[in-house]
Amino acid sequence: MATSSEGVWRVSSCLPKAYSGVLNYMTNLLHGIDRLFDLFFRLMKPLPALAVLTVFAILTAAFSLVIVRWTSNQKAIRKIKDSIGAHVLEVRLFSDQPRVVLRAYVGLLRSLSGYLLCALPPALVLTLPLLLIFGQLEDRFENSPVTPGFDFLVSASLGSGDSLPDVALRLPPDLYQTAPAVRIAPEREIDWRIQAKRSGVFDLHLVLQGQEISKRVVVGSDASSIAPRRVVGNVLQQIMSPSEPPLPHGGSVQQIQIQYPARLFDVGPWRVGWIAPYVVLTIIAALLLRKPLHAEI
Amino acid sequence: MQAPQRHWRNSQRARKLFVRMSAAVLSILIFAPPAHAYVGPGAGFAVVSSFLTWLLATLQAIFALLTWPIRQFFRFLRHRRAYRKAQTKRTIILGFDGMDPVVTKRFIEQGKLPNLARLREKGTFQTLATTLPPISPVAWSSFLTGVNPGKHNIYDFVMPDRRRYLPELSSARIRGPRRCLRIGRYKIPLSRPRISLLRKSTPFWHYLAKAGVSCSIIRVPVTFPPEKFPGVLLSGMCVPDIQGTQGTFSFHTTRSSREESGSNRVVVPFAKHEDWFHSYIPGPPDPLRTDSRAVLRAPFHVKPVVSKRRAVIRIDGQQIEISEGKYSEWVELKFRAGIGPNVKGICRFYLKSVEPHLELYATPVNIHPMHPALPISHPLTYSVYLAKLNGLYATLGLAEDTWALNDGFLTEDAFLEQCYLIHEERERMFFDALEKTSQGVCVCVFDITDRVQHMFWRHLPKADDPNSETGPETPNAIEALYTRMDQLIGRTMEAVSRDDLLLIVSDHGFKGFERGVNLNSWLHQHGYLALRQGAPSGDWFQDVDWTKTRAYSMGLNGIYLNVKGRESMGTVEPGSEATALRAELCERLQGLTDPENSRVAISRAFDAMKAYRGPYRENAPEVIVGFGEGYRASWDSAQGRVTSTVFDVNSKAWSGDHCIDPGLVPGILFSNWKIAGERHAITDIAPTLLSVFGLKVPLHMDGKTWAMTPSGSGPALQRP
Repeated sequence: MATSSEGVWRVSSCLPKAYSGVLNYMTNLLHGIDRLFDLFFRLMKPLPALAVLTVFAILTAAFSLVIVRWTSNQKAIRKIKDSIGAHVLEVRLFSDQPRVVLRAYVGLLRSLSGYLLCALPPALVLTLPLLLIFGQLEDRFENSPVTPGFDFLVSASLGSGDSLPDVALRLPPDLYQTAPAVRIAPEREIDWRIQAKRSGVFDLHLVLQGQEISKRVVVGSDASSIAPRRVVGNVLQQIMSPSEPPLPHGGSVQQIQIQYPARLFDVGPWRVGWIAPYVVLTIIAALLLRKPLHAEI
Repeated sequence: MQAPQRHWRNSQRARKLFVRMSAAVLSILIFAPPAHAYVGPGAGFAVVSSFLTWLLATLQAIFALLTWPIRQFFRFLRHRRAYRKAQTKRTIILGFDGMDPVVTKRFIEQGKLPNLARLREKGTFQTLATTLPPISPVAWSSFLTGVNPGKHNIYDFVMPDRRRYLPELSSARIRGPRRCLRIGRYKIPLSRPRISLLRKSTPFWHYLAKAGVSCSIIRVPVTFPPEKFPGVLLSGMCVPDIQGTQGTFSFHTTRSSREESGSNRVVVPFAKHEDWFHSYIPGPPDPLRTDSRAVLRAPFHVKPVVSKRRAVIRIDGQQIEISEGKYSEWVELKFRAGIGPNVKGICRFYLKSVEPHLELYATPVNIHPMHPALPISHPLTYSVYLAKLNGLYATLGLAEDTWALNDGFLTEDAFLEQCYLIHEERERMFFDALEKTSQGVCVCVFDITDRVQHMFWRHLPKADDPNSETGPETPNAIEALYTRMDQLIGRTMEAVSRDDLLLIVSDHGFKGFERGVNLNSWLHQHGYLALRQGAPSGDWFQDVDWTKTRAYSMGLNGIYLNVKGRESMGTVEPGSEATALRAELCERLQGLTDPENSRVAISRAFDAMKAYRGPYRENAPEVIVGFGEGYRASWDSAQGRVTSTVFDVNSKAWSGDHCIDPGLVPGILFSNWKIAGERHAITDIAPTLLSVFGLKVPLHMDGKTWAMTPSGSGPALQRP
């Protein structure tokens, strides 16, 4: 398993001190959050994935409502919502009077702008924590682990240069290459076809000009976190892929990607990714919880 | 100067910080994958619902605008007579319940009502004959239907239930669901409550609206339950509170330890637990219990903060802080009936005192305008629209709580504050309706004039002595009231063009109420009403021997005969015996003098069969009593009590009244147009309006049409 220190030490050597400090802090923080989520997921292991997603949707909704309640002008939101309702009814009640209808419509647009403006402060406050939650959930719900005995691809994207450098792939004993590496020069990409003998979490290593970079692979395991990519890091990338540290800046490798199969949920007649049910469930939970939590949204 | 600069700098900093944060977040959102742009249910909901609302409104607006020419074309084909023959395209009627012509004239002459003075000068000012009896529901029913009470069937606030000799509301009947599943002490309603309007005949706005004239009708009395018509209407006087009464307030106190219920109030003692005092607001009857006395309750908790002279109220998840001597905003209440649906209402709290006793007054629980338990507007969404536009508002018919002042639960100042809070809501409704009525009819009735005059008449200086003593607390309440109404009229005149017709009317005037006449005691003393044990009766004819009673009084002016076949224990044969008894009563009552001062207490008594015409004349009280100036039916008489004395002194705050001889209390009629002739009556307004819009006046209408002309050349009437 990749350690957090590996990438960060190298990153910090290439970047201004302050930025590397931020990245260090961020890596530690994300690592902490990652462990916290691991703990949550371990506790909820007996539950089906959709139930776990529902629990997170409810928690997200409750957390967001509390933030909305404390960071927005609740009285103003209530007033603006009433005004929106009044304008909608005005259009219906006085539909015989075009002047009233037009005026109501203009009033409605004004009220809607006010409503969105009122929603902006909580949106600003919620952005960072929700991105953190999203990053975690994406790592855990976006992909399924690869299956033992089935091929999967490992791709490395390399930085600009005249020719593709020699990159060696060092595999643990339970993983083996099923085809020679494919080098796509125009794309500056090298692909390997790999198979796993058994389930587990493994680290494969790319060796390039004496530099060794690892990438975690989850095979048929019930590990909660599956990060498909490891990329050259910045703050946003770290938030989005929190379970592995970013690749060092200035290195030749820009990204290592494992082609995991997508994880789909059965929702009635549909098979959908995690984001749609999560968004719908948070909205439903928020609507149900807004009264008990006294939050106007 | 430093403070503003610092404030400016701080606000600059805050603005910069906000801009930077917004930029940072926007950049994150822009570069994030689309799914990550979702920033939680709060903001997400705002975006989604804004979009849906916008979409819905846009579709509605486009539909309304696209179909408008088609609808106008059909309206033109169907209703071209509406405006083609109309003398005016817009008529505004401002009704002021009980505005008195004598008082108005006096204040105009004192220069206190400049807008009304201008109307009198440029247009018309006359008295307006009221109805028999001159009671608001009767007079306003004649106003809106153009007929005498014999055709609209309203003779008082109450009428007798002939089977039980108990009063019931004369304007509307609310009954429980027709079908219920009963299981022991519980029942499950299987249908809706039944509400029926008892007022007969058709309001003039129905004719106008059917002819294509746009109509906005705000709080005209006796319009509950609202009737369907192609316009908007908010019901007024006679709308009940959530308990189904005409207004029952609750008073919560540490002074008393016993719960006490009166006809218009419930006194609930506080129970103390640690720092909090606990009580409840009584609500509607429990729809799931067979026991009709079981009512739903909204519990609440109060924590007084004695040092700051205020209290914290917790009710239904809301926390309200209220200072001593102040009203709260409208508070939403939920009455839960088991697993059944909630009944929602609204009330205001008034913190009377925090020490030595904690005393809290709660207004009658009004029907919630956004979630009406009973229909209070047409269409149903109109009351919702008004609440969303202007905030919650009083929906109760008699919202100004005269009983709370009468019985000493509110001070005069507190009562006046309540009246003006309600009045402000109604002004907002009226001006919104006026704004929406570019063509058509806008009618609004304001009640405050009636309530304040009832309660403050005793402070009004005598006409012949303008320097006479006024009351100690609120010396100029009536003058301030008339001035305020004049300002309202001034604002209305600003919105009125010269071609628009503006009518300002009242249903009756006012006189002092110094002494009461107990008609039931008079009937008892003269052998028309018998008591079982000869002792004074309790409320509502408790000890009356109906088998020996020939006549009884119910309401404020009416005497009913105990007719065989109509009343359950009738004694008077219909026909000649009843006719003779009516004549006898009229003769003996007319000119009745008060032995205390030899003044005429009853100036006229009217035989209903002669006074009214129409199909509902049989429902009228047989004799209508016209009291002399300074007199009215006593409080005991109105409560159906028989006492040992006929005359008594009225010592209540309720010191002005109008339920007397109609000739003594005409209403007012102002207009910006010249109205020819004199002796106009409130019954004339409906036919006149139909005539103004070029419609044929229905033959059943009793009123006559007025000849009116716009008030000549010159600019439109403007506020001086």
